[in-house]
Amino acid sequence: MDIIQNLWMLLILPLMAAFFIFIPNGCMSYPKRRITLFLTLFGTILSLVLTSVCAHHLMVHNNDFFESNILFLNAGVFKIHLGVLLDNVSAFMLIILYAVSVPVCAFSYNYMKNEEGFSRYFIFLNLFIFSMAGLILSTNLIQFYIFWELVGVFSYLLIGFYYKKPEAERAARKAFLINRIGDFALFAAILGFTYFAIQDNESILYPLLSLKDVNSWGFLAYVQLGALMYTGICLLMMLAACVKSAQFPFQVWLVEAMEGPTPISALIHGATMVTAGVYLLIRVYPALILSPSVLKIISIIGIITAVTCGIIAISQNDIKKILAFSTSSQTGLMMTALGCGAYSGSIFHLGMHGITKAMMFLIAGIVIKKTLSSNIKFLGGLREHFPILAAGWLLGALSLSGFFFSGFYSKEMIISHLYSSNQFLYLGLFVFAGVLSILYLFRSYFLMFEGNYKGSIDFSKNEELPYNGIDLFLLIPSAFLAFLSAFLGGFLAPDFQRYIYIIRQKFYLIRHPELEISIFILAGVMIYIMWHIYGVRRFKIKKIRLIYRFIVLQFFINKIFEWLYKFLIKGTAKVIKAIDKYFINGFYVLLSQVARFGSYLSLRLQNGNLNSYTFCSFLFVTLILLCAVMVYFKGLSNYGG
Amino acid sequence: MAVDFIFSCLNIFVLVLLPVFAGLMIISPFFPNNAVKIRRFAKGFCIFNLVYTIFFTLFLNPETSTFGFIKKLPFDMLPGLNAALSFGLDSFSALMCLLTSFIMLLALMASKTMINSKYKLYYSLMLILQGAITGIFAANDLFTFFIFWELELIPMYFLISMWGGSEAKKSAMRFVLFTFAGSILMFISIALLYAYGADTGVMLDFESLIKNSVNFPIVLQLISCIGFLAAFAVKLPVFPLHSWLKDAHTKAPTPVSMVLAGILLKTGAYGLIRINLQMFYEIFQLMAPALIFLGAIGVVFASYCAISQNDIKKIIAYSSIAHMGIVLIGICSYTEFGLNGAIFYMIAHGLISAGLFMGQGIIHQKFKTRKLELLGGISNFVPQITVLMLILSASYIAIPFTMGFSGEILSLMGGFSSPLIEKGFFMTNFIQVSVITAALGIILCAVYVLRMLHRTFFGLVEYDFGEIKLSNHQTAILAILAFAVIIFGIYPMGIIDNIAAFSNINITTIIANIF
Amino acid sequence: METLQNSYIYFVSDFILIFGVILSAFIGLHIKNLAPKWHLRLLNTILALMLLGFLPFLTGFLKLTNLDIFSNLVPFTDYNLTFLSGSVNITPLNLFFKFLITLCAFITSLLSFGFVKKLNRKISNFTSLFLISLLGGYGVCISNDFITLFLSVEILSVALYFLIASFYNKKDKEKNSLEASVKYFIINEVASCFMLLGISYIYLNLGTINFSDINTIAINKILPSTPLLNIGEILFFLALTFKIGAFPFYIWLMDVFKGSNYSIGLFISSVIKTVGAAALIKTGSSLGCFNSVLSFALILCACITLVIGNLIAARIVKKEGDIKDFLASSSISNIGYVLLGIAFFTKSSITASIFFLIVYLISNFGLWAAFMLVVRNLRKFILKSETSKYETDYGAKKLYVDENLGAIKGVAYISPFFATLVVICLLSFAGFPVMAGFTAKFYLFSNILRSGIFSVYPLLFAAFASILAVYYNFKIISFMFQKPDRLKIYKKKPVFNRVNIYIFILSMAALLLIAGFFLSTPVINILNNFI
Repeated sequence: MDIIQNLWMLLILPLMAAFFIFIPNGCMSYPKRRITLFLTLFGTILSLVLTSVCAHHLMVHNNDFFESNILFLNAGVFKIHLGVLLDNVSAFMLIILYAVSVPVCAFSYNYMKNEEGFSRYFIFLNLFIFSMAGLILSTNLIQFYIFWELVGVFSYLLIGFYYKKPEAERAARKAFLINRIGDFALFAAILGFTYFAIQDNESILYPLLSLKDVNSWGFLAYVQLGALMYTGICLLMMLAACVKSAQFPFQVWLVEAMEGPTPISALIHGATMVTAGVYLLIRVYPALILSPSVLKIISIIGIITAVTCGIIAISQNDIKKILAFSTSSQTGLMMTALGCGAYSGSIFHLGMHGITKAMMFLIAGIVIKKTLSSNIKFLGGLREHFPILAAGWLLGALSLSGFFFSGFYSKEMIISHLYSSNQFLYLGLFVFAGVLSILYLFRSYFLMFEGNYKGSIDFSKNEELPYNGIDLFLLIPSAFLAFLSAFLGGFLAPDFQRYIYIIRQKFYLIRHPELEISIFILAGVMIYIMWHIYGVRRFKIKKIRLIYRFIVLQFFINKIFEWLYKFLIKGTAKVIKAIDKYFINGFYVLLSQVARFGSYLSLRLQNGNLNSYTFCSFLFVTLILLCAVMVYFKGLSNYGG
Repeated sequence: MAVDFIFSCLNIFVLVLLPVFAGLMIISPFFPNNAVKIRRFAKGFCIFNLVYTIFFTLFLNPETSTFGFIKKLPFDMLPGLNAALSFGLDSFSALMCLLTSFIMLLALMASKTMINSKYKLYYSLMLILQGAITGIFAANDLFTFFIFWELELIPMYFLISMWGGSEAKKSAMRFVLFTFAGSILMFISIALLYAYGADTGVMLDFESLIKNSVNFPIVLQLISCIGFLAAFAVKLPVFPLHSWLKDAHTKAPTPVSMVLAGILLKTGAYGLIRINLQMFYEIFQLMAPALIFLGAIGVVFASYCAISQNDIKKIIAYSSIAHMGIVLIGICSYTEFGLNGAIFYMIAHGLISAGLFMGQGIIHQKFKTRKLELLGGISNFVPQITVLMLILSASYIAIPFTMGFSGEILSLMGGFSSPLIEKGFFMTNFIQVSVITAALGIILCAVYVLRMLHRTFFGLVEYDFGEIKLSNHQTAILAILAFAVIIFGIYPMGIIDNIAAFSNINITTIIANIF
Repeated sequence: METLQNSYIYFVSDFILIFGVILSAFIGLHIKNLAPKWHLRLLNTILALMLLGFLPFLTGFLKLTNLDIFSNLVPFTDYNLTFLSGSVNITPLNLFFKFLITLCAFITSLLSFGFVKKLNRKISNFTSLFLISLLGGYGVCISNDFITLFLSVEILSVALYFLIASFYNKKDKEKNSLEASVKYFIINEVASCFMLLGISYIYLNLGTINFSDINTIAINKILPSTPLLNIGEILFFLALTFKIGAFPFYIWLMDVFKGSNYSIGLFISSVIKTVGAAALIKTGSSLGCFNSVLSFALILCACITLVIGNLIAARIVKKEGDIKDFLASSSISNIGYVLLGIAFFTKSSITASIFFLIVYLISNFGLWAAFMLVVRNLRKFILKSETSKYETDYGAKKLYVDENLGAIKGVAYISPFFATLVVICLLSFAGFPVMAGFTAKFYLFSNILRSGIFSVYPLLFAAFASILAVYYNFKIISFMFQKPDRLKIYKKKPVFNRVNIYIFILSMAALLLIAGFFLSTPVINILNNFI
């Protein structure tokens, strides 16, 4: 089957690329930039081609899936298999992954040109793409967990790329530790499920906890655990997903992850890794359906994240922080969509959001590189200096807020599902989150691209340069992504329902025209207001001091996490160190003291004067006699010779 | 032809007693007293020993669980008790002998730069120590097991006290007293078994003990099981008995602490598996849930202690206590893959902790301090060490595709799904809760390992350490260990295959008898 | 029953002993200016002759080792001859003890050569008293009833009082040897009163004082074991613990050792203890057969001896106290094991205790020889160095005179070979594997455990004791390997050139090492056949 070879090739290509980059750069002294770029691009482009071939093949044989496993660890009953599984969900995710990683690799070649860890960056980038592909293609939950942790490791390495800067390495450490909580939750869930999966060791079906027949081992656990405990395990999985996709309490690490280089934020924290949590829930969806309360909790958490992160994003001034908050809020929306049953809508939104967010991060990267400051308060009037960037940013803003381009289709799918299954509360909050996204996206647009430039750099000299001074290597990837985010939605949406066969839904483009028109009007009004506030500075909004401080500091979540780390980890560590020093160690010191006291006593007997000696001898003899007589009358005669 | 020639010269007495003899040869006055000759002889001998052990593991067919290469001293040392030196290898002990000679070779290579006084005594003690440890793993009868168990205390005492750090004598004495207190209880239980053997004429080598130690009288089994457990609990630092490990590690010189962490902790686990689990499995199943609970407590407690330390060596010492807690869970889980995981994790922990100690030894030697406050941003001075230490600590945090991962996931999985849970006697319903708390160790381990890495390697450079020249001899050792950790991480079946043969046969028989 | 005439062969060494006593006393009186070393040479020759007296029985002993080299030479006949109407009997075990006592006395006389020379005119007292106390020891070994036992014990003690006191001189360190002999005398009297009381109670109940008769009564249960009999037995055995230096009467040991000369200390800790053990075994094998509370009492004594002996030794070593104190406490703590073995009164446990006694004697001689060597060299060095001008912060005189354990510091740096020998002796005391101490302790423990599961409790005491033993033995080893501050002084002169003691320690260490593996089998086979 050439498909299976393609899949394995797909997985191995980034790994081989990383290995071959290491050979010349790791060992040889002078960095070989050209070779690294060529190898990475070759790897990712070829994988993109392969994925599209496989996806097309899958489309032709519709609703078929290809799977092949190899045995990684065989310890008797418990076997771990590593394999590749291509079904329509993972094909779509793979396309998104490689569609984003190709431009990001090209972009980062120029972006990281004069950084000193160039080859190290590309090795980690390729390894990250390999682990993300492994995550998407994983056949069973244990392999999923393996690549889930691997993804966390490489994101740690890439966030901490500028390890000389203390904030970068602290951010990397914080990101890794919070992700570790997610890993622990997923590991605990896996423990639970395997306990029931290997219970009756005759009918164990390998690979263990395979993601194709989730409902078999899910149902097995559900039957034996009962509803309450089962929801507990599913909540653990949900916790893992929330941590990885930076949901409400855990969005802290994503915001700090912006310390890393921008193409990394584009690839990892924009498009791929953040969606791994949602992908986990998508994969395990049949098991989640068994307990409706879990789905309710997922949607609640999702909507809370969407709203709060939206509000916080409005108050931020750093471009990358705004995008980070918008990522966590959009993933919140995906979670709610999943929770409310809009299964295919959330998958499509996941894809479209990934592409547009990556494009916006690349634009932000170019802006930061050109204006050397990422604070939108000091930027302004970039539209006449960089019209392309302004156009791109506008396109991204419109698509993300679900106005025109691909974002509209995914949002519309979810809204129409909510509307048709008349969950009006979620519909209202969903639209409110959409409105929030309009607010912070257009605020950033107007502050950055309208008005006059407050910065000190004069862009006059690159007026006459082609594409006003932006290097081609930077421009083409973002243009490619802009094109994708504009038209991919429209291209895929019509047959996306038929493509994701899970829920048979006849799909004609717009099912509730009156809903769409009202949302259009609302969005238009919002943009007009934003234009007034930030574009033309017609009237100033008075910031309420207290609430503003509260929002800017991310609802104090960051502080809570710091405080938690200080007390829960460091505080108890000190307490336990004291316990170890004074109680456990103290116990042994106590034993030695008892022995010392005993020896002191027994040596005091040797005081040298004779009558004490004779007295002691008499005393000892009488004592022994007493014991012997006592024992004699108690009849312990078994002591006899 | 060559095969049976090699097979003919594979004599287990040579395997065990040759290092001791080589050690005595070095210390004898005839051996020239210049460092280079001694070092070359010791290293050459270690390489020969490694090859010799490899041949042993190759020529041992892993399918049968019986002991191969059995050899017994012709006369018995204590008439009436048929107590004599007798050795035998099966796949598990052959693997441990291999680990011993491998880590001992690395330790001797490391001591080229770390030890610079009293060479003759040092290298002879190291070789005697290797002989003693191989004796423990190759023993085929309780009497020889105990002889070598105590014999390795003497070289360890001298190694720690004479080349150790400041006031190393006190901690060396603590180490000897702790281990001796544990092993004196084992002494009584072995004497009890031999007394019983003398009266009823039952054979006391491992083979027959494993088979018919179940129908000994219950009281005898109980006392001897408790006695053995005491000795092994001290050696494999189970939670309350672990306070000797910190001093012994921090005070010992780097190669000795490599050996101590790499192999000596494994003797405790080896004994626990070989004697408590395989022989007295009926009595041991009553204690296993409590031990799992203690293991879990140990993991969390030691991880928290490691977080609060600010000396690299102490952190690594406490972390080895934490990881041996996971091994304990794997052993007491009474499941096949739990035992596999425990043995695999023992080997993984051996390699990793040897590497980490080597790394901190280099840092200590090159930057003249182990305190975390003083160190910072070393990675610009020693980039290779940073990469290798990152790989080693990655496998400490059980990152996939490193050795630590498969060991940890197997042991915890075994602990969680152990058949003892339905048995319903003392503390069995705590098993699953304690395995979850042990799984918490993943987070805590990440906390202190990252804290250690970031405080030493990344961040800003506060102190000028002068110019640092790095001997690639030391990086070679670290590279070998990191390479081994990665290779067996990607392809764990290499080791699991011959562990599986051992654990499948034994555990299935045990489970068949009890459940 | 063989009459005395044709059984001279069994009393050859006794006659030589009596002749030796008379000869040494005569020479001391009449030949005035004979140099002390001639007296000692005479003593050595007499002891050597006595050893030869045991030659005819050697083939018998070797046959028992069922090493097939000797087995077909002389057929071994188990003889049990009684003379003087049953008060004395000769059995292989008694002969073995007599041989052991003479061997220990011979080695003591060899080792104490240097220490006794300064007695110059009064040397004849030492030699004759030494032989007289040996006579008492012989009497104890061959006695078959309480009267001869008590008599020979008294001869032994009387000779010992004067032996201890004979080393008195005001200036030297032994100025309080008078006090030591008085202490030994008075506590000995207390013990012998208890012994007499015990003997009378036993006689009251059993009507006979002959051991073999008691043995037959006990085995076929002719008379019941009345409470009075129990008390009598316990009193008798507690009195005997005085000779061994076990729990009730152990207090005198420390002061007598501190007061008297090294040679007397060595003589007591080896010969007297063997005699005590012989008496215990002889009476125990007969009296122990009553199922009485005796073994419980003796086990209690043994456990307490073990614990107290080791506690004292640990404190002395920690405080770097006097060498003689340490040697006394280490002999107390080790004899506790022997008493523990005997206290169970089963055939296997008594053999194990005798084997432990032999191993204890070997390591005891090794350790004493080592410390004697260190002390002698120190003292000789002090006298010479007083005149030489050098200054240390402690001042030359103060540092060396009181021989505390500090003297052994840094020995390893001076002569590593000597240090390894001492390490082997100490490890055998601590019971570490390769040495004979370990095999003896293992044999003892497993034979004790053969008499039932209840015997695990006393062994826990023994376990605690051996942990302490490891502590102080390793502490001394760490002293030896400590960097000495006085190294610069020693460097000038090679210290350890006393050849005879050196060779002797070498033999002891080698024996310990080999005994651990090879010697144990033949010796135990001999012992098994005796009882």
